[in-house]
Amino acid sequence: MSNRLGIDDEKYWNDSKIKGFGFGEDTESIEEDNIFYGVSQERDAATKVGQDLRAEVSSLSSFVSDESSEEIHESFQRLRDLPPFLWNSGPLELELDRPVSGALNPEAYMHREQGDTRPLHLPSMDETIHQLLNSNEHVLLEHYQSLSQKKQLLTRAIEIHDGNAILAVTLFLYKTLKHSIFRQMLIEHKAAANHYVRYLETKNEVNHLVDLLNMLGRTKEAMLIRYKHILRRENNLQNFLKEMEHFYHSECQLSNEEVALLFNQHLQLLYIYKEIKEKTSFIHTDNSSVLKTLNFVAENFYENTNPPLTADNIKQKFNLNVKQYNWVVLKALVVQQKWPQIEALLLTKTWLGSSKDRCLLPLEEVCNTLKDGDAPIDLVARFVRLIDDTEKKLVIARKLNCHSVVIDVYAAQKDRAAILTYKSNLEDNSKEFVYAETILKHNAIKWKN
Amino acid sequence: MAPDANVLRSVSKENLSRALRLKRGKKILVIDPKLVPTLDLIANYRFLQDHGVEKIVHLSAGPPMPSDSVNQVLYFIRADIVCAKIVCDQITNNISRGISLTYGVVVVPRLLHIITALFESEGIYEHVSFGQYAYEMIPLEDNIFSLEMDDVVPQLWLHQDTSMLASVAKAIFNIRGIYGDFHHVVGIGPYAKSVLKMQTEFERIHSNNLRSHNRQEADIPTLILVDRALDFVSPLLIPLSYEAVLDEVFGIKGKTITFGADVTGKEPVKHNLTTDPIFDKVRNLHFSQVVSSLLAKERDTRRLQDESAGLNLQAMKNFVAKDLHKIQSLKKTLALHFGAFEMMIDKNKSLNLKKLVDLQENILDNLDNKETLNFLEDSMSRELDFKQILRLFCLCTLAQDGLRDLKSLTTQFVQSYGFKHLISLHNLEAVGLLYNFTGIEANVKGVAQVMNRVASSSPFSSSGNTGNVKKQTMVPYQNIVKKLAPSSNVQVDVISQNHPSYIFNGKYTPLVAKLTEEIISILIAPKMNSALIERKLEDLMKMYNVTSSTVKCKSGVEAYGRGRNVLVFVIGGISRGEIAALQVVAKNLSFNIICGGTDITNGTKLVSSLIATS
Repeated sequence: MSNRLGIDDEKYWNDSKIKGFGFGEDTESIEEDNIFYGVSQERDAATKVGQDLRAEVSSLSSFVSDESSEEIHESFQRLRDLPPFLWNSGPLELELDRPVSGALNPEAYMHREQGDTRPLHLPSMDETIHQLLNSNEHVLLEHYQSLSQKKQLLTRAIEIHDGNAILAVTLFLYKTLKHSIFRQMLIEHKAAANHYVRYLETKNEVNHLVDLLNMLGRTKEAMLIRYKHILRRENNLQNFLKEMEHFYHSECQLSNEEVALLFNQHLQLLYIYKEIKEKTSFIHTDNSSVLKTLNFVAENFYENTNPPLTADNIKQKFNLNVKQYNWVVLKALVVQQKWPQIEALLLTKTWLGSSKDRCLLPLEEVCNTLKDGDAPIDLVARFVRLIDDTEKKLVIARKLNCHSVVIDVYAAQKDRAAILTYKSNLEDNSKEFVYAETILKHNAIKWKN
Repeated sequence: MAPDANVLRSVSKENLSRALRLKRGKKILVIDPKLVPTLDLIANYRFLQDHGVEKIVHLSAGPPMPSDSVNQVLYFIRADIVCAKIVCDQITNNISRGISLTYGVVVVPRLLHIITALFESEGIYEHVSFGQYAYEMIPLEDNIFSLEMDDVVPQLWLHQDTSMLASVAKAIFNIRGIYGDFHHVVGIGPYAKSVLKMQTEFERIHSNNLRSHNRQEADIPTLILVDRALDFVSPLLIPLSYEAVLDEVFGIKGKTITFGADVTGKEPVKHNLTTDPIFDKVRNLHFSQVVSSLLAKERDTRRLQDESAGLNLQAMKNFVAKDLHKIQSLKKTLALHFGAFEMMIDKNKSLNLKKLVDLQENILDNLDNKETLNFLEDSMSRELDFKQILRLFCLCTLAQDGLRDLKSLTTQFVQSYGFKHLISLHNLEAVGLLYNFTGIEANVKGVAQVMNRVASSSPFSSSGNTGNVKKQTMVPYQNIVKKLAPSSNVQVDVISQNHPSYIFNGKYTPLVAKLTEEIISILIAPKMNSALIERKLEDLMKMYNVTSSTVKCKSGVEAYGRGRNVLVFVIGGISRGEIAALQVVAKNLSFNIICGGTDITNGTKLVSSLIATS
């Protein structure tokens, strides 16, 4: 403790020792403690250790000696005026600060218990809860033996809303009460149940957790926990499938939770994986959704017409809507550059047989997708033409270089000047250039300029 | 005058040095990788070296090995049982191989009972000494404090695990210890209330301490604590201040932002925003104003450079010494911002900003629901960024009294992104962010529904109450959304930023900004005494349907005078949009508002924290 602030330091710590962590009611217990064999020696030892610790852990000298933190030095005075509860004093030191520290040291506690069966000084319930709130390392709970005390302890822990206190007490109850009583307490105290559920989940105690959730009436959560656990086996398809089958048949089939239907869909998807794996090399974890699987089938088995490995079969089985089906298959066809098939997929003649095509997907995105996939410009243009809004059509046609569409739009607007300007940017004698000239010579158009 | 945030930094640092001294002398520091960015904000490598750290190893790197001079290991881990188990396994492994080391384990922010219990059950308790380290609120800036806890929302609202609440409470209690006791405290929401209740417990525990160190004058007279769950709409909406958009697209971590090659044109850059010479000027601008502001900056810079052209030799020397560096750094920064801006409006395919903003405004206005539905279905079919989809699901749920077509949309969702997301969807449901539409449509069918409900809610009818328990606690939200649209007589101007709702184009005011504004207005009203203030504040809570709140006002404190500082702290994280909105409130009322949160959040982080991890 020899630093240039030594004197102040000592005064500081003497003061704070007096203030300490008093709870008022401790004075009586000190006397009680004094009756005990060995207590005073222990306390002396504790004081010594405490002093050493303080010298080492709590000395403010580090501010001065620490060269890497010069800026701290400036605010040094300010820090010295701050209340001691700001300083990190390990759990051990917290205890040493207390006048009754001997009784809280579990080793001393055990030691004395062997020699003497008389009741010890034990922390009050308030103290116990405060120790838990402070996250002290050693908190004794074993002396709460009567059921009413246990209940009261749990209630107090819940009242202060500290998860650490709630869980510590709950685990203590689990250890010291028979299951039926423990479960009853969980039913009565939702906060205790929640913390215990979370604890079991992080400890991965699945069976125990599922039972508990079912008992608490949280059946959907129970199913999801089981499902989540099975998902860990995802890499090995055979085991995964077996466990999903078992799970579905034993826990989902009779459930009226909507989620059960989707577990069934997952199971169906696994059957399809199996089929695909028999035909070709396939990494199911890379295709772990219905749409990704559809995409795979559309890319690799598009010409296949025998179920189950057809795009249509997957559509039926999972009840996919037009958007889902068309988008996925469109992407697969673009990859394969199957342009005629794209027309067949997306364009439906209106049912009066009129020549106008119809497309159910948003046209702008379709055009972009085709363009990005290097589709022939005539195909892109065909979709651009379907855009109703003329302004939008023009913008997209220009962006995607669908020259013929641009020229047609201007022609429809009878805007000769615009065509002339646009033509000047086209390559001489290219197909579009010639097209523009043809249009300009057209007699039937009454140009506005 | 803003309170001195450096004190917080110093306290965190001093406590870190104490935690490091759990093992005296030379040691290997084995660190939970998730703690690294946080500790980085507190101390540098040199500081660790000065405290005997010879080597830093990631927890994931396997059991630590002794070297010639070092036979001590100090673990720094989060209060997480999985991390603790890894530590146990490493120590057990070393012991079984006869490797002789001594071990210390420091748990951040608190040593939970289950962690020591784990070491006990693994049979290695006697080989380990334990410590804990709670840092103070980290001032990311003078008026932005963060606890850098990124999983508070799932912990509190999904798992109902309150074990970190005490750490939040202690951090606030320490603020009081440093800056003096609060004069007015308003806790809004059940967890805010719990945290304030813990303050009373801490007061009892440290009563002697407080008596001798009680500062009468308060640097921060007012504390407003708010539960995130009262307004999940604000983080779910994309805010349109420049900083918030940067965060949405690139993600700001602590004080840095990482721009990829698509922005820089070359290698990725880790950009420090605190040293950015122009960021402060543009960060709160509405997105529509950013380009013109950047262009003006660019012109200024060019002019500065041009002026150097005609200089004589001596002046040129001066210029090179003084201005050249500045100009170059400005130019570099501008290039980054222009690159980022371009990326935000054009190239970014997963997040078409304009489209998403249009959609979210339609959702708030309850307009064009058909278009929203089409967008969602198309995006899912195209397998676009699923977090944006979930975000819109949640936004529809909260703003429209439930998600229309919930069953069909969620089925399509798991078909697109995998059935494992059944867990994600369940999580969102559990937090109250996703439920089926229960509102009334404004059509003939809707009118019939209303009639039905009126009939069934007669005192003699018991139906209609059972299935909907969870939902009923959520009901008020849609009404609040309406209250949070600026009133019709306010002309919101995104250029002058005259109203906190400017970040959402005047469609919505973050609840925390609105409440802060109202609370401060009450506090500064003339002729108030503590009883009157308390009553007014309680009325305010009722007006916003806040069922769980605490209002405390010290008596005998005269009118709001010196140090117009307010700490607004959101349990569950504050968003950058909210920070920008609070700055407008601060400006309008001439206050200094310190924005705090368990972390700085946004919609993507919020949704990510709730989705299934595999």
